[in-house]
Amino acid sequence: MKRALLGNEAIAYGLLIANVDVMAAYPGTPSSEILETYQKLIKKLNLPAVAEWSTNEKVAFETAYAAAVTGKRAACGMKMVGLNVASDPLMSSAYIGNKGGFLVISADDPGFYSSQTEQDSRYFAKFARIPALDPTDPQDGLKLAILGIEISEKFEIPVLLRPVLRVCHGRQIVDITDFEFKGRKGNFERNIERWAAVPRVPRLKQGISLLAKLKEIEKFNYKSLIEPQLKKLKNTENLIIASGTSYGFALEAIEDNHLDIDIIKIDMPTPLPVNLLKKLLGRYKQVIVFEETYPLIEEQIAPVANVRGKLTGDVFNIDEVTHERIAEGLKNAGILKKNIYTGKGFDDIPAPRKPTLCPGCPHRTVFYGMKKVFGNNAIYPSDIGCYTLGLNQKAVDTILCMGASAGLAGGFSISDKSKPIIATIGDSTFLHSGIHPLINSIANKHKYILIILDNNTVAMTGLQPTPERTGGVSIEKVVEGCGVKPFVLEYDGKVETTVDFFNKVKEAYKNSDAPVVAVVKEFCTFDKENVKLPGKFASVDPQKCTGCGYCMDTFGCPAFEWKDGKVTVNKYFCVGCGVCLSGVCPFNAFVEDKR
Amino acid sequence: MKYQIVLTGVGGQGTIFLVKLLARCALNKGIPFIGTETHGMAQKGGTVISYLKIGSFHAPLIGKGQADLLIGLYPTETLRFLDYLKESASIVTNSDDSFPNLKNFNLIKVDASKKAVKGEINPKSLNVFILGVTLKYVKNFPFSVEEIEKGIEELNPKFAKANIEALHKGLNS
Repeated sequence: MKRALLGNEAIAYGLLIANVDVMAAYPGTPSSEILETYQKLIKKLNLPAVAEWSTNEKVAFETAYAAAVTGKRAACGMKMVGLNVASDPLMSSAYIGNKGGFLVISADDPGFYSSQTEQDSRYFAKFARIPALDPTDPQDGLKLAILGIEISEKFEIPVLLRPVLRVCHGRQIVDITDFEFKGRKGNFERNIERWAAVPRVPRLKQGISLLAKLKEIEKFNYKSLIEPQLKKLKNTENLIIASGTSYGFALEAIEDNHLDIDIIKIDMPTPLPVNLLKKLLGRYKQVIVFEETYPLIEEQIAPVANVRGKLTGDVFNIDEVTHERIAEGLKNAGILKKNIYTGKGFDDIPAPRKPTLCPGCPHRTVFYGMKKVFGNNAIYPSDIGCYTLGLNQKAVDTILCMGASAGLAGGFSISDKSKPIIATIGDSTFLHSGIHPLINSIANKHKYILIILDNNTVAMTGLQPTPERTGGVSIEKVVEGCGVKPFVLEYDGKVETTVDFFNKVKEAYKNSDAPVVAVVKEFCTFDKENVKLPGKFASVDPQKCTGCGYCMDTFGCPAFEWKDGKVTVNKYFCVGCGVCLSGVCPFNAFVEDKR
Repeated sequence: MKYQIVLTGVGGQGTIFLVKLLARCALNKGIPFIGTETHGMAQKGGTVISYLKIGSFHAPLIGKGQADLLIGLYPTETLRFLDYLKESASIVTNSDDSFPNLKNFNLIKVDASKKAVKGEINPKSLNVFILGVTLKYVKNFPFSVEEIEKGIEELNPKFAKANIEALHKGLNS
């Protein structure tokens, strides 16, 4: 069956073809649609499988890993920064291994499209001493997901599948073979020596056997994945070695420029059979390596061949692969004379469009009210999610990683006592990794305000459900159980109510010697179940607008536009939330636009 | 056949729907296809850019200077990505009269935002309306009206009627 699929959807099909019957994940762009699709498919096809959103990536890893320990086939999904969170169980599971196939899917984001770092998850695989697979496109994502499960089960080792953004959010016509899904019964067999990771004797034994497994996998890599490609080689002067998406780009560069050059695709960049490759690579005058994002293959083969790549400064070292960058690399290696990938841009390109909170988003009102009450002198640590965009309203000072707003707030409270500290965090992020720093702060009497922006969904990654919605978990009660009774605001879309609420919180903060917590219960404007927009559209009375820019700086709705020194409301973008009508303009220039 | 399309707009305008639709049409015709699209951050009013490569390709992005057509759902975003286009490529863009006259290209302008606010077209179908305009004016566009209609019906039967109506408003523009 042929379907036009997103890479993430193709990977989900791969998991089902491979009979994976347990998957757990935490959402994160670009990985989220893998579990979403897997979940949809098992429901639609009525398959005996389990799909779960976990509270964080470590939990997702452990949930899926346990299934693989009982002999089921399992996968966990996350984005690469999530693998940092799950790295603890990853390291130990590499030693201990698994019975059923276990695939760890970590989606990388070369080019920083929706991440704080680039990272190369393949290095995590090398670090943990497990195999990594690097798909080129959606079809390849499907193929390598299946292969990953097979290798994992054959060698009883976790396997990492590392699709990058352009694979995850690539779209292609994908061939899906017919499959008969048979789930397995899990059966935990007690084996304390294996499953209970107590030092030292059993672990040394496992460490030694892990090294032996890697040698076997190296051989498999050569025999099954590299050797079949050798027949096509024409023994040209130079050789391109490419991994992941870089392979597709290199192929197009070869075709577009009519180059006569050999190319090999590396499906499994670690463990690489360097000794087996030595003779082959030595035959070429130069070997040019293209890979995203770090020089993993290059580092391994540099000792046995004349290699040009990132380490030699010939190939791009940061950001995603493009045709231009491949052509530049080939030019540097003397293989191409001219970079044909050039175009002429518009001379007067409009100012970059910043990501902003959506029109009608309640976070904007909360940041506005918060800033009005606590002022410019306060420190505003924030977190990872839509509300990160509060930085446009200058209501966000720091962004580090998931859960860090409360952690940093605690640290600031003991290091800069002269300023009020107002931290913000979303509901999903709080449940992901915000609870522990809050507990720590309560125990250590850190003084700050933590505002939990509770819209009951993981909005930024596409509205995945949170534990509140699926299991009735109460954030207020969690906070209360930690030791503080939170202030709660039911968001009503009015500036005045929000400001009153924060004034009350401010009073409590003055007299407190511990964290003060506020929960603002709101909605996401994309959340069809809960959205509450009154349909009060706005326009600007040009007589009253002085062009002071206050609304732009403090509120910054994307529907506001400058026109001839005054603000106007772009009718096309206004969604009718009515918030700007409730007291944003000091001159009351916003008036209702009756439609 | 080899045909490369850049699609741009602002988060929320439905660029991805167009990508899905054209991918569906390629599938129905049995033509290979590869592309990539923006998800995540850009939902929040940011720039959206997607790439569609119809025919035998291997990489999801389009090389600079290689695209045959740019479909722009918002004028500022159209201007941002001209460097992807070949010389004499076609541009179909939503824009008012202030849009510059790009002489090196086959430029087709239509003020769809104005039509949406006036209620002449449904704002949710602005994307399909622009596609209708594309079908009317771009000669070597790889799909026919019938093929697009079929794709719309298959992709989202619930809104198919409204979308096909918008498509025809574009065709009759």
